Amino acid sequence: MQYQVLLSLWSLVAGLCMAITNDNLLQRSRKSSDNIIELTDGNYQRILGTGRNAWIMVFLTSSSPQIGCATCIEAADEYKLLAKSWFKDHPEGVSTAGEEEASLFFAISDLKDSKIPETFSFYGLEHVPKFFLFGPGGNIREYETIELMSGGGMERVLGLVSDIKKSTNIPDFNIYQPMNWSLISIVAFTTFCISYMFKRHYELTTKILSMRPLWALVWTFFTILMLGGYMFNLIRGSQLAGVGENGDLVYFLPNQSSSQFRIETQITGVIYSGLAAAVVGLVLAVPKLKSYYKGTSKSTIVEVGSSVVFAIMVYAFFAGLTSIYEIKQPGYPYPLTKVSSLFK
Amino acid sequence: MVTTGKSTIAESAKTPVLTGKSSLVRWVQTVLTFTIFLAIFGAAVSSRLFSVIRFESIIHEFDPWFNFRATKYLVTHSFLEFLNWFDDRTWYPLGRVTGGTLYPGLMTTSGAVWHLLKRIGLPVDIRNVCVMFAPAFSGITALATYHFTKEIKDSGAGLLAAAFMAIVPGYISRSVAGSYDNEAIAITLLMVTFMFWIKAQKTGSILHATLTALFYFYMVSAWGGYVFITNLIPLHIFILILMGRYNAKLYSAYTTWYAIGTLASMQIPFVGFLPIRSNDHMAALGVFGLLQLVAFGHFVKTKVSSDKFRVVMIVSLALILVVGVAALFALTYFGFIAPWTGRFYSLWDTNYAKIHIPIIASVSEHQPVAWPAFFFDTHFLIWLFPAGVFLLFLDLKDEHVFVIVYSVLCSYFAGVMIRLMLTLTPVICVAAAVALSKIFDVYLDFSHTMKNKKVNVSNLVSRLLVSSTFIFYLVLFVFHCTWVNKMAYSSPSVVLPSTTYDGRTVLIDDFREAYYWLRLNTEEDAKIASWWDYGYQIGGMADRTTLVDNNTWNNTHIALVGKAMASPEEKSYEILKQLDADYVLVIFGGLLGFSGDDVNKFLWMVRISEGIWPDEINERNYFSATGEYRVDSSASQTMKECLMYKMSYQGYPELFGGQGIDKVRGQTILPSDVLPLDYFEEVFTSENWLVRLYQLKKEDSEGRSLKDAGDYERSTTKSNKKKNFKKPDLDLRV
Repeated sequence: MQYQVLLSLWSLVAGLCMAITNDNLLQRSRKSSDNIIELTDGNYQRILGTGRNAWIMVFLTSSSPQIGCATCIEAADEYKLLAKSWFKDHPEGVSTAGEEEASLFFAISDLKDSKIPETFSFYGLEHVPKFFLFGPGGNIREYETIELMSGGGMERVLGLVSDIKKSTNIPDFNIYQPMNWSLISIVAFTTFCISYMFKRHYELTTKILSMRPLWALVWTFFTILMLGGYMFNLIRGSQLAGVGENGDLVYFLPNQSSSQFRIETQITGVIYSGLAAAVVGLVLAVPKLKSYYKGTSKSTIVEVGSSVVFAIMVYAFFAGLTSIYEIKQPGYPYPLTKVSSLFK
Repeated sequence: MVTTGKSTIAESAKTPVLTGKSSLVRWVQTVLTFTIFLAIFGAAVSSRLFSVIRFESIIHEFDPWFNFRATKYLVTHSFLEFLNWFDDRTWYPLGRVTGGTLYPGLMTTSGAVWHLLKRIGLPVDIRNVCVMFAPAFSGITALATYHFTKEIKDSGAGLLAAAFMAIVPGYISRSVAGSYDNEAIAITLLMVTFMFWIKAQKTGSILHATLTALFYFYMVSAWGGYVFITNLIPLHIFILILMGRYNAKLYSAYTTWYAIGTLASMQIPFVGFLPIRSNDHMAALGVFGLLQLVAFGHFVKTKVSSDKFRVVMIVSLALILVVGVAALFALTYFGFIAPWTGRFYSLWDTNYAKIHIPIIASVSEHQPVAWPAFFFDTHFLIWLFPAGVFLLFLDLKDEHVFVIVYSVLCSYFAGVMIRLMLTLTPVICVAAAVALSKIFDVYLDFSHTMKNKKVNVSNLVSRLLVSSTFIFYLVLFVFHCTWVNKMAYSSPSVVLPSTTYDGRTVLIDDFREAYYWLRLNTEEDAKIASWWDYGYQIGGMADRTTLVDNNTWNNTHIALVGKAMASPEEKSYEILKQLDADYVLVIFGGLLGFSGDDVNKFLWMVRISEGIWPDEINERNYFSATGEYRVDSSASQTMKECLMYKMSYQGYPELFGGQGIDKVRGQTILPSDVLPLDYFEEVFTSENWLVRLYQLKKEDSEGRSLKDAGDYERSTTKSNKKKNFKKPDLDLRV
């Protein structure tokens, strides 16, 4: 009888001691500069599985290069921003703005090298990254999975915040974006350079600015960029190139005439520039060369040679263009491939 | 006929060579030019007739059905009645002030053509006038392009540009027979306006400037894209001023155009006071003011030849600019000037629409363009175009600045929004024609080949080689255009062509089947709920009242229909009852493999309604646990319970004897996935299941909720699982 009383008393005391306090969690958070608790095989049971009255957000991820998870690395930065913003408003990790006081801490479990953390096997993870939100209490099996949106950047961070707000009933969770100093410094530097150029070399600058071929090149290049689907890449955020079945590089997204890789813009840009250059050559360079060599013995050979070279250049690039178009649209009936196969 | 277009191009190149002064040569030249124009006109019209020949003389797609309906209204009523038309059969129960919210240019033009033909004793059905409208106007576009390019370079380049314009797929895409849309007439007017503008700024002629203004007015009455002209002409002037090329001709041309054009454009009811109140039009006003100041400055300069003039000029210009911009912001802030429209924002800030206006982002015409589309629409002009821009830069006369500004701006716009490819196409044709004509000027000129009765062989060979390759590309261009027109741009989309397993072509006519069923079997004032894409077609073909249609003026109303589609039955029933709808129409492509169906558009319905009711609708709930958009067993509960899912797949697995295969999504639907439908009753499903119609059930006569009634019914007839397809018990009305 006495033993029983003693045992129950002991378990009560032990439970109280075992329960993890907010101060303890705060201390653990402070250990890292990002205010994120590192979950290890040794401490995860204690942090997640013992009684507490704080919410804990856990980020399960892998920064190991062998895993090669690009989303994880993106999400890690966003997670850091999340934690930083939270602790900026709530240095103690406690929010009093809601109906009742609520505290929130952030933790991370990262697969860094080949060793798989126990948390991963404990929750039977097959995919990373994952976000788990543990409510107050202390049941290690009871958590809420927060979905990760596909688009990256601020949109995703705001999505996470709104989910956390919804689940925890914490109304005041603001995101503080770090100032983008690089942009400001670049703008300042270029402004300085331009004004310096104007001040010191006024003549030269105005000469450059009124140079017609320069303007022509810039705007022709701009047009070529637009025709190559540059805006598509920008809006859709398409990837640079694809990977084929055997792990080889795929430059052109096949069978898709309404979608493309970023590298396709570069390739078509080169082709269009080559074609435009050849046309300009035919119109301007050949007559110029002819008048330069006029009267000399080379005159005919230069004229014929240059015009033939430009004509062949046009043909080769155009054939190349149709043959890559054939990849995008199989069965295209008018390629110039028969001759272009020589140039492949 | 297409081969005529080919010979046209080859011949046209020779015209600049014939510069002889004798009257015979001039005669031949005139006859040749005339023949070439006839051929171009023929090629333009005939290459747009594929759809009529392969299908029938029918109005295409969605928007043309509204234009057609409005035109019919116009020819049966007076013009004033047309302008005051309040249409109570759309946007039920709100109705639409149609006369005040449409661009009447298209309808009035075809109405005038119809009246004219009737007057001269050719009574043609108004439908045929509408179907043949776009091909006929494309011939005029070619003519305007000729005159435009003639001002830019010479008549040789003009003929090339006209021939390109006649058959280039980028323009044909919106002007085939049956595509009776505002763009059909707008591109013609765009080119005519620009042509007169170039003439006006070259000569400073008030007549030409007034003609520019008149055609600008016509353009305003026909298409919302007139804003492009409103901004391009001021930009042209502005850049010319910056280049220090101000002269009195520019002054008279611009001020005449601006004053007459703006006053005239305000006469269109839909435009009204926008030209002085909306930010889209402020650039034109600003340049108008600037031009007065610059003119004044020039006047002062001639009077006081002071060295300080320059400084005074710069300071006053900067001051005026700052004051002007500040005033613009202030007036916008205090609400005197309307801010830019959503479509305008989405051109500059490419993510704006995605975040703020899902209804704009949802339209397929507003998607960005990948490079193959450019090549597909213009073939080899796409690489002649940058070369042409470069060559024009080297000449850089005042009118060349216009073409360059147009090219640069529009290539950006077309990259952002696929529908603006249409405005880019004319300038591609012009710039490419300039480049090609410059090549032909050098290499088709054989006048120096025969020197002192001796043939210069090397000269001849190089010339022949270069010109023949380019003529070869021209031939290839004609083949490419014909292929594209035949393959991509000649389907009416009301009737779908399909190939059977044994290779025969069959026409799938489900849309008209369903619309005709509606016309015959429902009450005349029945209200049909459907997604907005089909509103115009239901109005035009079934002649029934619709809740929402393609004129997306009321986002909330559209979101309400989207919410009804995305909610569980009970809730949808309540919403649709409040809207007084009688039938619900859904498009289901699962059986046919038609990917443009409502299940694929469904996420936009969710997104649009989520924008208004974020507490009730959440996009994520419609994805499966793994975050995918699925319609089979792994679909989320919310997805399976929503009205759209239930209506699309009702009875579908049973059709296959238990395992329905959705050919669009490539997923298998089991009978257990499709929950029973209690509040709606299937009344019609078309032959290929493309269109499915449901009627809202009447309230239960015993006062139970319809769900309880349905549950009771199912529990009593559980053994008899076979579904009875009930014929609608309405009489046939003819």
